[in-house]
Amino acid sequence: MSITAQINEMLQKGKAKDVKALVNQALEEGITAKEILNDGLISGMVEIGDKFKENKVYVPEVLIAARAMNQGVAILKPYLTKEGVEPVGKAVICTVKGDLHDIGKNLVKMMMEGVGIECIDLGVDADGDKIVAAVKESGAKVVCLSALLTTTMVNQGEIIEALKAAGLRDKVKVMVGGAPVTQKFADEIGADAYTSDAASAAEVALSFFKN
Amino acid sequence: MFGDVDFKKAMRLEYPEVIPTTVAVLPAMWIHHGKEIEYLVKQYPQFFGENYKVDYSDPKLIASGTYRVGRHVDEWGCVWDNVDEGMEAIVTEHPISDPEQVFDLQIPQNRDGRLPHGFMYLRLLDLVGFENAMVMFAEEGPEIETLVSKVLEYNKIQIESIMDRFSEMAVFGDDQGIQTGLAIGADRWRKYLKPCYKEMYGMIKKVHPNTLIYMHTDGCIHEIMPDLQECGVDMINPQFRANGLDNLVRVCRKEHLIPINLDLDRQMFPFGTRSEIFDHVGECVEALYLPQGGLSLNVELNYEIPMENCAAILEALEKFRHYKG
Repeated sequence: MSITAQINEMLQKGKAKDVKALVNQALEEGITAKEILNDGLISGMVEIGDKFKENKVYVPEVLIAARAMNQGVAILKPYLTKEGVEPVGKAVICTVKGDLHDIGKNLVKMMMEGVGIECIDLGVDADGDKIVAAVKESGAKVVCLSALLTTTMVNQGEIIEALKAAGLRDKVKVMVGGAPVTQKFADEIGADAYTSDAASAAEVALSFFKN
Repeated sequence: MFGDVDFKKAMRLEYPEVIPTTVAVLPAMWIHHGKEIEYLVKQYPQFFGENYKVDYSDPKLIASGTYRVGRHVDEWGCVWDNVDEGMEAIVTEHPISDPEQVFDLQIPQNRDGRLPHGFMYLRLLDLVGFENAMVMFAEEGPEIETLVSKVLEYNKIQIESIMDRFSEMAVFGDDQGIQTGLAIGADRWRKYLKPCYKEMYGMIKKVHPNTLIYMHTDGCIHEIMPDLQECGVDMINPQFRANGLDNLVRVCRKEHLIPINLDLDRQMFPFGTRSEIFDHVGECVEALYLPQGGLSLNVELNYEIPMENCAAILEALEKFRHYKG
């Protein structure tokens, strides 16, 4: 088994110490940081995301895999900078105004980081002004809006209007999610995508950066 | 109405006269639309009672505790934040930041029988935070075992402290599911949580064998509904949207007979048309009705639901509660 395949396997098992050791070993063997990232860490997170979608693993497994990934990435960071490797893209992510629920948003963030997307996390209770400012500052191409409540999901639409008013709507793809949100609602408010789970959100975001 | 004769008959499968209905008007609804909802409530004494009256002249009179805007600290030291008057708060700060600290966790000293919504599973998350809790579940070490056993110990003490007060019904609420299933998976839930509910509900049933146990849980939980019944739950309050009608019919009617108080589609009510509301209530009743009972219909009216939709919901409930197959 190749060393990147071993990294993938250990990451899926959430064995952070082994991932760190293998990442160091791979660097010593002269494998590029980009290869370690893509073929070891990201491929592992993609596989764990697929298993999560199929209910073969659950949130605890995803969390310890993400933790192992973060530790591996921390080792790779200086090497990635040296090799000129950029993140796949940047996304602004938050739970919308009036809503303090962050579990779903954090899962999406974890999955998106797992596929190499840099997330600018605005936390909870975020309004249009805050999101517009973050998009302007970061140049993010994707905005992810989470809402758990039927009282707050309407704020996803208001944020899209704020992006329009700021002249940013054509520059970003807006993704929405959360328990009460549906494809129909996403269409009504003019979002670019709705996803029902965190792994699908990462896949869709990735497709926006690739196209 | 909740706990009335037909409701208990539905729980016991004793052929209720009509399908019971439970309609809750959330405090935020009274704050935002007091006059309009008062008018509707008066039209439907069958759902609210003849003497149901709410003084909505001041939010302080309607919303109390964590339903008030601001910060609140509970008996375990969890910090709750609320940014929307009349809505439930959420825990934003957890007393335990490092899993190691669970070994020093002291159980609260109150002995008043208070077991609020989220008394067992959600309490684990509230104490250590969602992500720490999930990591602890993944590691399956002494930290999670200790945490579970301390919360269970406290809950048992609380149940014991009011044991002589249980009568016909005991009501519990604790959200087990997320959108697509159980965050920790059913097997892990059966290992860590199921024994807790079995023990707590068993304590009550041992002393009061005729006390009915009612349990509310949000999220996709159809996988563990038979387990909850095995734990002693006589009626479960599951969500339509999170579980899906097909799964509820399969689990609660075909594979098992599990009485439910169905939480009708609260995600559709703010946006649906009158005919969609009638279709939804009718579809659920037709799929889940049994002459012997086992079905109640639950609705929460909150301020984001237009008043004409609230009226349609109540009309639909009135129509379909007389359904006889």
